[in-house]
Amino acid sequence: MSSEAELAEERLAFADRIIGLEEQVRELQAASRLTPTETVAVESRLAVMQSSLTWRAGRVVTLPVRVLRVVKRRVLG
Amino acid sequence: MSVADAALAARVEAWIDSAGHTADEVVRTARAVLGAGFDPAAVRIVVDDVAHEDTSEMIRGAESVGLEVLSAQPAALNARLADTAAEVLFVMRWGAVAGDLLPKAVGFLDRFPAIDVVYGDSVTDAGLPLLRPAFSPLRLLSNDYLGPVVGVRVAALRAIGGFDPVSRRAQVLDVVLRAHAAGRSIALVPVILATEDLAPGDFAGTSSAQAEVVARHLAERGIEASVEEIEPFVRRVRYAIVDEPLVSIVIPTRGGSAQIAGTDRVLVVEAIRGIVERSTYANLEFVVVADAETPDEVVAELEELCGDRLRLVLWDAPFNFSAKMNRGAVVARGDYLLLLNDDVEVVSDDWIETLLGLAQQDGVGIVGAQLYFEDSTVQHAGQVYTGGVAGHAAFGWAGGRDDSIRSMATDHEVSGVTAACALIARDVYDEVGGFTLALPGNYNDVDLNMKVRATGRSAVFSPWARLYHFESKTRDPRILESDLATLQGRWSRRMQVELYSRMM
Repeated sequence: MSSEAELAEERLAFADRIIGLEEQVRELQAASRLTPTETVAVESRLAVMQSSLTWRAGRVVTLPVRVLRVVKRRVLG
Repeated sequence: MSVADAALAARVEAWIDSAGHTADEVVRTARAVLGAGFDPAAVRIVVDDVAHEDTSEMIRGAESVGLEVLSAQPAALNARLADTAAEVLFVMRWGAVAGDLLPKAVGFLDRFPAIDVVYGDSVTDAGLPLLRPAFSPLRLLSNDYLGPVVGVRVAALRAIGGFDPVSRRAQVLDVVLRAHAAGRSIALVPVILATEDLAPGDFAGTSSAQAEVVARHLAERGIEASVEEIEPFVRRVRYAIVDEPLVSIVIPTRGGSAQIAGTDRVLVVEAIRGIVERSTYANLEFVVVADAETPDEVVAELEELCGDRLRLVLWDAPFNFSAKMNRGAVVARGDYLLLLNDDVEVVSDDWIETLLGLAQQDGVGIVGAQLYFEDSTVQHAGQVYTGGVAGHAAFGWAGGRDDSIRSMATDHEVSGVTAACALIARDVYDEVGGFTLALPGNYNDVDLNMKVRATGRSAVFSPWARLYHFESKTRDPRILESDLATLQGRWSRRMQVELYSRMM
């Protein structure tokens, strides 16, 4: 393989690495990455999940633990 | 009506298109519109004397629900547009709007002020969902998928010149195409906005009027293309190839054989033989990235088949699909790279022209084909991304099966396309860094698609470029946890909901 081709390969890998790191940072940022349509779709999905019997049953089952956590936080600061 | 409802009603106007419907159907639509909280003084029934020889019944229907009639003549529509004090105009084309249309649709516009045009999902009378894709300008040329209700900001509509006098019977499609061309934002509201009957037939020449609008839209933008009617309301746009560029077909191989249809065949040889013998696009080169163990007789056959169009590249490192494809890409001389697996067989002779014509359109980044398993069921009709993982749309569908918006008969935007067969411009490939070396085996094509889409370009699927892909239907892709972590580390939040292939 020519040195020119080797350099081109390295350029590809370098560009990918930069894009990958930039995207990883964006994933960790609080700002939404979603379009308006995606935002509403995600919210709808969340609402459906939170109104499901499984979710509500889970909230009931975990209630004592959540109460204890709140008490612990308030007592211990 | 509460104060809030009255304030909302004062901001909107509704036009009910009566063409193709009986007076009873229009009255039903009108009652639903009034039930959704529209002010009767801001609701018009649009009556078209081309669609109805006798408009008296329609006018009586409008009077029965206390609504005014508006002529479908473009001059009358534009006069009303100039007069209205509403902020948002809703055009009801068929069916019945949901009772909570206004808070959902106007609420969406209020929340996202940059959006100028909205459309939404619907359900059938039987309650079956009819889910529409996120705004897909290319698909819109092939099929007006916008559904029964389209809302547009009056200011935006005035800014693009209102209704075009020559687009009669296809005004909504024309307005949306012009709004997009003018840089206006159009968005799907992914909630149910209406109830509708399935598949209304063609009426009042609407289908041909839409085809004319599309042809005119293409011509005005200097795009050379033909528009063919596949069936009423479904069109195929064939884009002329600009400058007949060199296309480099990049194929990684180890020269292996497999039994296909009861016959042993050397995969890469038969794949290339099929392309050489059947493809109608001439300006090609074959970049074969061959493992060191590729048999000499396979290489000899390739040289015989391709002649001086073959560029053979040796791969003597451990398996890494991404690195092999990047090696092929840097050696290729073409302006376009056609990424191809070696276990394929061409079905449609003009597959390269189809992919290339789409890839040359503004805003298109990568284009994929329809792939079939050996048993002729669908292997690939675009990728779907949901919950941070990827799959294939229409996977395993039998031939002839389709969804309600004719996704298997229209070129359309998708979340991604498989790299088993994908065409991408070389400069786009270089810009995004090709395939990532961080994903040597799986999901590298998903990452490539996401990188392309992150540049603002789209991934497009064409059902008119067809190939067999002799991959086992029961193949265990053996996704490594580390592959998934790498992919999700970059794109997890962008891959949570599928918004292009929602019915597949």
